[in-house]
Amino acid sequence: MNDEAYINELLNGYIDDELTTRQQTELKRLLLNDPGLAEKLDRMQRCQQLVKMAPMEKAPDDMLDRVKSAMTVKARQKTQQKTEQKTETRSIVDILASDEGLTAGSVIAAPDEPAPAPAARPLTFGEIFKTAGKAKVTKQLQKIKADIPEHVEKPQEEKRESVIAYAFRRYASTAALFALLILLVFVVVKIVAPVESSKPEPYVQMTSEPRFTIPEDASVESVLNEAEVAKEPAIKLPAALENDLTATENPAAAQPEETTTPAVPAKTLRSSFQLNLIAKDSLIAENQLKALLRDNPEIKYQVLESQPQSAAYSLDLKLEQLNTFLMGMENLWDNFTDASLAVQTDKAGKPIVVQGANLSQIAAITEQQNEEKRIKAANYYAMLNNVENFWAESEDMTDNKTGDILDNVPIPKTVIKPVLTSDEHADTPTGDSTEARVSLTIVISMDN
Amino acid sequence: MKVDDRTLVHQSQQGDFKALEALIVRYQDRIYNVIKKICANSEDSAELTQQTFVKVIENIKNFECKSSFYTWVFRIAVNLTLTFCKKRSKTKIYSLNAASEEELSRTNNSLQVFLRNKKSVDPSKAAENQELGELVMEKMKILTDEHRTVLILRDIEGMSYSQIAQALDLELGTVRSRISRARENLRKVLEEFWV
Repeated sequence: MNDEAYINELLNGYIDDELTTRQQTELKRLLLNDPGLAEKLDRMQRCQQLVKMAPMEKAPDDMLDRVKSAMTVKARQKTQQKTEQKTETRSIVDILASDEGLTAGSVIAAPDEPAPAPAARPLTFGEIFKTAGKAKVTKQLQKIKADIPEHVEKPQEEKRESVIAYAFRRYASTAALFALLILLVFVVVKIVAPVESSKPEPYVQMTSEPRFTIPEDASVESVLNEAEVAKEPAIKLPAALENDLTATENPAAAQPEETTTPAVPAKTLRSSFQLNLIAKDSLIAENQLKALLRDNPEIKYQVLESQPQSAAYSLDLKLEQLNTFLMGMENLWDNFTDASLAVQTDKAGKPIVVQGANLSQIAAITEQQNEEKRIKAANYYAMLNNVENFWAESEDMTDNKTGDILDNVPIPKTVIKPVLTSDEHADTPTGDSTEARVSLTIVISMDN
Repeated sequence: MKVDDRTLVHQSQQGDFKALEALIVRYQDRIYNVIKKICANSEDSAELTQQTFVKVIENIKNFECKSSFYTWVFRIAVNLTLTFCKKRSKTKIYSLNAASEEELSRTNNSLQVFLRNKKSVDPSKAAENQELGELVMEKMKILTDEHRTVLILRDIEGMSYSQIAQALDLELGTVRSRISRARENLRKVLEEFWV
């Protein structure tokens, strides 16, 4: 608002006695400083006086009568409208009555008449009138009547059947609609749901279900005894290997190869590892592995396969033995071009595969104190080895800022072939009886 | 004893036609006067006044006394009148009262004298004053319907700004500025008489 408009409002407010005390003071100050404003105020006051001089006009004397007669006319119009509606309704009643073999008023209640007692029946036309608008319905009914060339009266039984059929059709169509909707949702979910990344199938297929459950307070002996009682192996082998295994277990069928002690089936173990090694020369690698096993006579193992191009060994060993064994693997490592480790635990369900694993990572995973940490470590290395730029982020993790992912996992930066120190072995598990033994399957394949 | 509006409204809502009649009689002249000043035609004003009261009767059951009956009835009247004025302005331009040139000249002179001599209103000269008032009403036809309406409600009907705001369904600030502009325009219309 500009100054002039504001001053005008002040002047008008003053002559209309609508100013606050502050505004009055402001106006007085303005009037003292500006004589022209006083002149303007005077003219405005005179304008107001002139308007007030306008003569008071009186309403015609018969105004009250006019209003009354206007109301009477309106009332008559309303009555006439009602009568017309009533007549229309009557005509519809007649039309319908002639169609349905009913007398007028037996089904349809005229608007001003009391409705018949409600019963289990379709809506009366009186009700339709109430809900749908009387005139509209009347016209539609008349139109329908005109359109039907000849009306065949249906027997009462047939009518009831048609009503049932109609209800059935409605419910059936609703049910079909729902079924279609559910199908659609299912299809959408199937399409949208994330597909699991295709991991290389482990050489040995592992069951996700444990063969037996171990109570929290179970002792080592009881657990091992119970495990040995179990009949079916927790690890399902491919059919080709199953035969080899049978032959190995049965000396009469096949000569077992270099078993120091009878192998304990992997089924008794809580954690299983499968180490897939790609060798430059699988024969050399296998021989070196055999030599390593000879050097560790306390390790029980089984030869699952021994071919020129591939070999598979199943080891059953204690955790501390596993670490010692992995230390020994360091000398063999130059023979391998690639390695992956599949970790199977009861908790993980599906095996976790760490591609491109090195010995340090393998040792870091296997030496974790419990199953949960092993899963975390395996997941971490699986992710680490798959993400190219993960090194930068791992800087923070090595500083132990992220905390919970890996509390005890050493993060390798540049070392491909780490040397396991005695300090690292200080973290070997203690006291967890259910994880005292592990299964390690080593699969050696020729690099093509 | 004069019964207040609220009581009469309450009685009317209960179906007391006498109370309704009393309300009509109480306001018919004021309503008619305001309508006549806005639309400047006796027949139309009577018709509009009648329509106003018919609407009042039809809707009095729904009146919740949130505002005064006085502002409510004026609101109906002004709305009807302004709607009527809009329709009329689309169809035809109504003519000013056909006053003779001599008569017009005479009243113009009276207006000039009144304004130049800075005379105050002399109640003894009622007829002369009435003439001046009529002349000003003629001049006010130049104003827009909205400006004329607020000036009539304020200066003739004597409504406060807040009552005008209620009657016209406007903000108080809008009423204030509209009155200011309307008076300014009227002052400009009457400017020739000051010279």
